[in-house]
Amino acid sequence: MTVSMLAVAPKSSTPIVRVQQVRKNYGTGEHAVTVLDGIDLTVDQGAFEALMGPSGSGKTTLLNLIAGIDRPTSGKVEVAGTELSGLSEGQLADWRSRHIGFVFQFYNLLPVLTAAENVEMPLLLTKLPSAERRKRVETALTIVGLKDRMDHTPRQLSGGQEQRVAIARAIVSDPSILVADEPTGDLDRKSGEEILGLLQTLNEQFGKTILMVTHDPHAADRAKIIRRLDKGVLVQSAEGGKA
Amino acid sequence: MTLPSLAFRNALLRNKTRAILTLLAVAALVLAFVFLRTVVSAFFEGPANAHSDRLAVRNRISLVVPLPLADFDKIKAVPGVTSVTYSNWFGGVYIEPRNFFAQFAVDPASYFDVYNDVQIDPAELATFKTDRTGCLLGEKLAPKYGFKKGDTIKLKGAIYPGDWSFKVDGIFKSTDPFMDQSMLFQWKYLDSAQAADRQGYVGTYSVTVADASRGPEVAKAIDTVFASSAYETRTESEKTFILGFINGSSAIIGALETVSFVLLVIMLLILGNTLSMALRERTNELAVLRTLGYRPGQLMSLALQEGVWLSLIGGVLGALVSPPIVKGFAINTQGFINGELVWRWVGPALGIALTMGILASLWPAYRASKIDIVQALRRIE
Repeated sequence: MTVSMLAVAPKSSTPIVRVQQVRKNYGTGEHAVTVLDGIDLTVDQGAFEALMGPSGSGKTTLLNLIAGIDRPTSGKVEVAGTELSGLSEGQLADWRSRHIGFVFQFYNLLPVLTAAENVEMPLLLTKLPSAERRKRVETALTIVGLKDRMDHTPRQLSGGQEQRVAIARAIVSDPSILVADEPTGDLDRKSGEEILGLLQTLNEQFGKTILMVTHDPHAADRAKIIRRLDKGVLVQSAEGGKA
Repeated sequence: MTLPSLAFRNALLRNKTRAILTLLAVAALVLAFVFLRTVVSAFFEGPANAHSDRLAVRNRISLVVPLPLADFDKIKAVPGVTSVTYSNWFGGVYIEPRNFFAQFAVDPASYFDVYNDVQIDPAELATFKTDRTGCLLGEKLAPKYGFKKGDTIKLKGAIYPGDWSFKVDGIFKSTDPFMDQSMLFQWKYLDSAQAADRQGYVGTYSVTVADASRGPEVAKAIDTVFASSAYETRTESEKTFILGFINGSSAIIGALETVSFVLLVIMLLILGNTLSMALRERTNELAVLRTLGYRPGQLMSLALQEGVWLSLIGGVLGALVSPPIVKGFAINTQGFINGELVWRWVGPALGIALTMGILASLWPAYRASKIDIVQALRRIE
């Protein structure tokens, strides 16, 4: 697949994510709950990693910290060369728009917009002219195999197609890293397989760094590295089954 | 795709029933606001059209107590007075009371010196001056009832009992919309029909002064002339004189003004409630936009634009339907309300609706911009 929009990131052992001694508490005083307890994590550029663990283990919280939508109670999170704790809300928003592509469990497309318009949403934050935005949207939808559904609204799409549109939205601005929170959690097996295959393609052909939270061992097997969290602590790292 | 177009779709396409009801509510409130303000404006139209160099002289006791015609020359002799005329309010009924229009018994020899803004064909004026039962009609009154030159108008006297006939001698035009819907006839015709002991009295005198800035001084001088007489006078500017009528309706006007402002508060609450509900339902989407990199200010702007679209479209709807509805109502008031005044309020009402839309959106928009992304996303799952 030749696509000019997505810069093919060179696979390297350079870390794109550095998490150092990160703690995250919710609440204060006696009611404080520690969700992450001194996490150290390094993710190399071009990696495809899965974060697994039981409910409440802190995997989504860790993903949110790396995506810059939450802040640690203590410790450092550095992603794509930027230490996130020093950024203001506005700076963090700008940073996210350049470096993070987020894929949600429930797709979260805007129902009043077509597939193409949903994918275009991140590009409205750039100064790209309309024609260039349109070109990029078409490319992103071509990558996810939905070029022929550009003008369909989310209601006119299946769950798997919606998630593919969400992935197109996540990659359209060519982010440094894709974070996916249970991307197959709301899909049937076949659609889930297609989404995992798509993520694998993005990783292998375009060198996109992908961090995926999942409960599903089968889904985690598509990742190159599987990390397990339990009670806020990283307890195991292993190679993925098919990677 | 642009953010204003997203705001437009959010405002109108998310929940179409709610959007339509909100738009209709805003349109109805704009219509009601324009309607009430037009009615209030109609009350103040007279004072607004008053001439600063004109004074009105009436009996100090009450407007319904007349003044002797003999005062005419005394008033004219007061320094600063340039012309004087007199008139009586006739109050006749044309067929039935709902066909209201003003009728004044005037002195043709002096009336047009004081009311020099009245335009009339000289030949028609000449006829009127010599025609004891003749009358002149304002240019908007004549077509309203299909009166033409040469027609006979029959009125039933209310203040001056009896059946009265007038021949239309001509049509005049005035800068005062009220006068354009009025009728003038010979004061002598009215006076000669009165009992001998009631002859020689006028309702009010109208006076012009050489220097409008010296009006209060001249008014005081006129009242001094008649002080301690049997017919003491109260002289005031034409504007104050007309406002005196309005003061009698001040409670009604006050109520109309209050209600018109209450309408704005209702508009604020309706728009605020709609936007609060709409944004609360979309908390997850707002969180997604924040995740994509939208700044809090951009979410606030998006939410404000929703309010602007709702108020603008509702406002335009209201502004479009207001003129025909208000004018239709004005026609039914038989000229008491000048329907053309509605245009004064259409533009401001639209601006007010827009302002209300922005004000109503401020708090919901601010709250939308301050959402906690993680909490909002957790709510979905």
